[in-house]
Amino acid sequence: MPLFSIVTPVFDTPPDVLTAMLGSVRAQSFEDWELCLVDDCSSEPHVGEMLERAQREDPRIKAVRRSENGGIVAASNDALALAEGEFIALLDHDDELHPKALERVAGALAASPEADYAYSDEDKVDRAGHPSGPFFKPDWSPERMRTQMYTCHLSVMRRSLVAEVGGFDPDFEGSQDWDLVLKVTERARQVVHVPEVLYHWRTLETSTAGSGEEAKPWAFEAGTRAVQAHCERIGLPAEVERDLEVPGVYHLRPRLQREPLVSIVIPTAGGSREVRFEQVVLIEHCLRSIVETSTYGNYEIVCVTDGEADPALIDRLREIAGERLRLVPFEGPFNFSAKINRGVVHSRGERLLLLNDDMEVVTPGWIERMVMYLELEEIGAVGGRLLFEDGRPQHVGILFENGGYPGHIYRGFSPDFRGYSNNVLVAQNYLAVTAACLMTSRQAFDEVGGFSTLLPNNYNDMDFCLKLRTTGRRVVYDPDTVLYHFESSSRDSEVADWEKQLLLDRWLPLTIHDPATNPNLRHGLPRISAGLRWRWSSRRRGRRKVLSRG
Amino acid sequence: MPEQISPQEEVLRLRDLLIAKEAELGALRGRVAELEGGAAPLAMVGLRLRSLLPSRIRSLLMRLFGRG
Repeated sequence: MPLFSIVTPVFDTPPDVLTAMLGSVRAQSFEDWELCLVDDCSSEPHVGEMLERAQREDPRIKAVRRSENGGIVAASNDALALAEGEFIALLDHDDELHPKALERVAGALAASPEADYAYSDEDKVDRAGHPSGPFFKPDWSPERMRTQMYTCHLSVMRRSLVAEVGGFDPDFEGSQDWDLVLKVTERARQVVHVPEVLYHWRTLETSTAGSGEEAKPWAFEAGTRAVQAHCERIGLPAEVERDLEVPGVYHLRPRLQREPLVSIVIPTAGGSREVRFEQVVLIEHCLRSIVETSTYGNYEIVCVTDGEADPALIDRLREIAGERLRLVPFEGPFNFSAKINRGVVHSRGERLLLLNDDMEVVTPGWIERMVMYLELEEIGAVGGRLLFEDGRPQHVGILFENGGYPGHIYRGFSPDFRGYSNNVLVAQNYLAVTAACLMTSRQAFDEVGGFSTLLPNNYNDMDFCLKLRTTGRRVVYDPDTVLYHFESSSRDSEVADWEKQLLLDRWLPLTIHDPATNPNLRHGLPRISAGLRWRWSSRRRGRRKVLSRG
Repeated sequence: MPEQISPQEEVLRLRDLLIAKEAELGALRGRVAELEGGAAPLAMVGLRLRSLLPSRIRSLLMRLFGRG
C-alpha cells in the first residue's frame, strides 16, 4: 500500500499542460505514491493516448476512462475508488506539484502521527509557466475555513476518513473540495500545515485560479451551500452568504435559536474627548450608540466607575440606558483588570461583552454576531473589527511576531485595505484579540480566573486570551462586527519592561511561533526575503522548459 | 484606603495565579528539557575526546591544572 494516492480527474486537458502535470508527479523526490487518473470521457483524442502511455511507462500510474462524461465529482469519486494509499492527495489535471511536495508532506505526517489532514502553501502559474501570487497561509483556522476556502491546494487527507464521509458529494459540484475538507476536518484528530509552496495552480481562462467567479459562477454558489451544510452539522447558528464584491469571501449571518443574557461590562473614568469635531463624554457617547444601534434585546450594561461618579453624569446615563444600566464603583489606583473583574462579578449574563468606553457601535447586529460564535463551546473569545475615527483599521487581529510580543496588524492602513489574501474581510483564529471589544462566556471567564490583576495596564487581554487557549478554546476575529475605537483616549498605552517580561515568562512557548501567521510573512505581509526565495526557487524548477517541450 | 475585594474576586485572583504559575512552570520545564537536550551531545563529545586522549597526557594535564 503506497503512502499517497494522488487523485486526478482529467477532461480535455491541453497536451502541454497534461505533460507538465504528469511530469511533476513523476519528478517527485518521494517515490511511495500512485497516481489515480480518471478520464471523464474527453472529446480530445490526445488525452486517452497520453494517459495510456503514462500508464505503460510507470507502473505507479493507473488510468481509466469513463464511458460517459459525468462531471468532476463523478470522475473524482471514480479516481478515489482506484486509490489504495494511506493518504489521498488532490491534484487537478492542469496543475503541478513541487518536486518535493510529497516528501515534505510525508515528513510533516511522520512528525504528527495523528494528523488526518495536511495542507501546504501554493502559488499560481500561467500557461507559459510564469509563476505568480504565492499564498503563504496561516496554520489551521477553522473559523477562517468557514468564510474562505483558504487551505485549497495542496490538500492531503487520510483515505479512511475520506471514505467515512462518503467521498466527494455531487450536491456541491464546483465546491466539492471545500465540502470534502470541511467534512474531513470536522472529524480530524489533527490538522497539519506545511508552510512551503508545494503546489502550482494553473491560471487558465477556464479555471477558477484564472478568472475567479466568471469562470465557474456555480462553484461559488455551491460553496455557500457547502458551508451552510457544515454550519448545520456542527451546530453553528448561522446563515452563509457569498460576498458579491469579493469572490471567494463568505459571510456568516447570525440565526440565533436563543438570546442568552449578555452583560456589557464597561470600565470608565468618565473622561471626555473630541469626536467628529464635538467634545463628548465617552461613556455617554458609547452607551447612546449601544442603545440606539443594537438590535439584540437581552442585555444589561455594567459600568464600573472610579469611586463615586458625577451624579449629573449618572442621571444622563440612566436616561440613555434606563433599567439596563448597573453602576459598580471601584476605589483605589487604576487597574483595568480589577475593574473588569469587579464588573463581571456584579453582572448576571451568561455572555460577557467587555468594552472600552471610547467605542461607538457601527454594526447593528454586533451582539448577535458574537453570541453566534460563542454557541460553539470550543470558542473562548470573539473580537471585532475596530476602526479609527477616520475609518482606518485600529484592530483587525493581533500577531505575536517580535519574539513573543504582540502587535496589531494593518493598524492605520487605508480603510479600503482588504488585507493579505482578504484576511481583513474573513474570520480568522488568532492567539489573542483586544479587550477593547471582546465577548467571552462567563464559564470560560471564571475558569481562567478572569483578567490578571498583576497586569493592571497592558497585555491583560493578551494574557486572558492565552489563558483561554490553554483550556483548548479558540479566539476569533470577526470582520463583520464593526465598531469605532477612539483609541488612547481611555488610558496610557506605554508598555513597561516588566509587563513585557511577565508576558514572556508566562507565554513564550505559546507565542514564539504564532499559528495565525506564516514564516514567510511579517506584519501580515510577505517578507521581501520570502518573495525573493520563492522567485528563485520558481526559476530553478524550470517549469517553462517543461511546458515549451509539450 | 485599600480596595476591598469580594470573595468571588479573590477566587478569580487565585485561579489566575494558578494558571499563570502552571504556564510559567511549563515554560521552565520546556527550557530545562531544551537545555538538557542540547547539553547531551556536548557531554558525549567530551567523553569521546577524553577516551581518545592518552592517559599519560591526561594525568599531566590534570597535574598542570592542579586537579591531580
